[in-house]
Amino acid sequence: MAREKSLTQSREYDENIINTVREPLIVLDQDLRVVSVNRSFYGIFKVKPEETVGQLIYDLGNKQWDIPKLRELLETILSKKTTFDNYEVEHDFAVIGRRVMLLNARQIEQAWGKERIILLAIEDITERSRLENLLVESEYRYRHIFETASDGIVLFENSDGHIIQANKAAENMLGYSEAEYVGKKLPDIGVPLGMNDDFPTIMRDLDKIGVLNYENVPVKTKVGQIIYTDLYLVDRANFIQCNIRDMSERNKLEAKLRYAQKMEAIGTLAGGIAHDFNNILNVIMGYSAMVADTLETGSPAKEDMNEVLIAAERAADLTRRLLVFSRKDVVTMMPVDINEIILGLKKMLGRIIRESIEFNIELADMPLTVLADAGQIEQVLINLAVNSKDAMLEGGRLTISTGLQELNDDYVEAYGYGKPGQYALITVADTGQGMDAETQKKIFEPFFTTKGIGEGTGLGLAISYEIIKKHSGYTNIYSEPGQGTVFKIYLPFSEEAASLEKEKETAAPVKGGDETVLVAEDDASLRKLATIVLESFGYSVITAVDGEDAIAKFMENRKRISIVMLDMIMPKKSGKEVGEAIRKASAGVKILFVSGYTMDIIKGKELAEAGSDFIHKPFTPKDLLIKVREILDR
Amino acid sequence: MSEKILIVDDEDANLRLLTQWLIPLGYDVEFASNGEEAKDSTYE
Repeated sequence: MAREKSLTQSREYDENIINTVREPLIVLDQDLRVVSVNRSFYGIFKVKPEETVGQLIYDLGNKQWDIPKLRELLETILSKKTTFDNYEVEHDFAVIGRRVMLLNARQIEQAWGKERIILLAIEDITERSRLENLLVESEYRYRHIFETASDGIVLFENSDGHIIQANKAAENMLGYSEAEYVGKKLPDIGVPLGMNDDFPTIMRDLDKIGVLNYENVPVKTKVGQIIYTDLYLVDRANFIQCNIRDMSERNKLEAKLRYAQKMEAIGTLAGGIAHDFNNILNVIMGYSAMVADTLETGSPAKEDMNEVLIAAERAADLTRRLLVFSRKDVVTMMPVDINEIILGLKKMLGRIIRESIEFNIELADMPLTVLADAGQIEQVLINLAVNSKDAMLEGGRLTISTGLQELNDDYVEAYGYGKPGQYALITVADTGQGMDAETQKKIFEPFFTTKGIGEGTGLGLAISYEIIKKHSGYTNIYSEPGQGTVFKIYLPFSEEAASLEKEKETAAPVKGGDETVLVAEDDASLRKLATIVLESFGYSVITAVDGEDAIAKFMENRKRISIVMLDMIMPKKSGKEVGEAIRKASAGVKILFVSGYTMDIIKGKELAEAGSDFIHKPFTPKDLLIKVREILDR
Repeated sequence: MSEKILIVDDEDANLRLLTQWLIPLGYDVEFASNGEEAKDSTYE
């Protein structure tokens, strides 16, 4: 009995011990049946005492504990060893889900009954394992970001500023290999942050704020090139992360935007004032012309008025040129041969440049037809020639050449602009002083000029650039100080347009005159048409509304009238009758009969036989003008 | 046949100006002094 009692006491003692242990404990006999478990076991694994004690461990909780790794531990490992620590088992329990456990196993030989028992301590490390995985993942992510970032990233010690690591982007951006980076400080790799004097200050600020940001910092690469960057310093506990962001591309875009905005502002301004301004100029020019007419030819006052007129015309011309920048500019695109334009300008260009400059024109041996406003292309060529002249004060050679040029995909790729296709290429090359890269960048900006005050408006090249852009073309500049300058202008070549151009060429020119014409026509709208058309081309017109009116008007103005235009059918007297009456009064007068009906045509034939001229209705204004001129010139 | 342009303006000066421009470009022109006339012309 005493032994029984001591056994019970001993058991109670054991139970008390294991129940104080916070982690789940389970005691098994040598047949792997549960002898006892602690409270924590019940709590964590959600099993009931009556379903536990005396059961085979694998059968616990509906065989939830039949875990292959557990079998391996209990049956294989423990048959060779008496203890095994930190045996990791991951298992998906039906009731409580996936758990990661660390098992510590002890085999204990019991003196009493000589039975062996197994003590299993189970540590649930699910949460710890999850955090570890998160950390690994986070590190992986960071590494991935670090390696693939487009920012150059260098990590340096926060104690002394020595670089410990640099990413691929940093290698590419500044030209140092990672090995070259390691051990250097930021100033050694061209990043001008005061790593010696200011280093403690920087570190203190960084500690306070967490992130420091420096904008538009010039960084010198290994080969000595300056690139503008934004720098970020980020506190990363033991080290500092420095992001170097290359802003060249953004700066370039910003410059482009600024340029476009400037152009637009000028355009808006010009468009806004052009109308009013031209009206004012009209008044100046109109009254000046009137005053000038009243003055004696050769008088000093007349000379002065002419100066006013010339200045007003220059002002009008300037407004017109500024309109290039606005969308209100009227561009008349016609098929034109670039070679023809250049040949037509040859004399004028020759006058612009000085005698000390040799002037060559080398044209392609085929017509280079483009859709263009010939006047504007001429303006571009004149602007370029003026520029070349000013760049060759000591004399030199100006060469204008043309050719057909294909812009292929490679070109577009290499230069970052252009639409592939055939282009008419105009090259304007001089042997002048040339210009540096900085000047080249600004050369197309409005109001940029290298000339002295009063010598240039700084608009010539900006306008030229804008004109070419409006023609869907491109302007390129190649220059070096002392090496002369080459402008290349690409205009889209148009094969279709070439044939159209020939049609236009056959159109006969229209000539006007200053003679007086008597127009006798009873139809008001036709009378008006003839009047306006003739007046537009310089003639003076007297009108008559019927046959009798025609005779009366002729008699009144017979001295002035050079030609009479007579409608065949009119009220009161027919054209034929009027013609006869007029001839009687003044034999040599020229008459143009206008016929509209078949009947008239027959009469017209008689008249034609009698030496009279006639024109058929309907006639175009051009027909009329040609006919009138032809008769008068006979 | 050349394309015809109807010019509507009550100022003869403007009609003359446009005529001077358009004829050498190869266009035919017609005139109307006001909206009514312009409407009539387009119906013809």
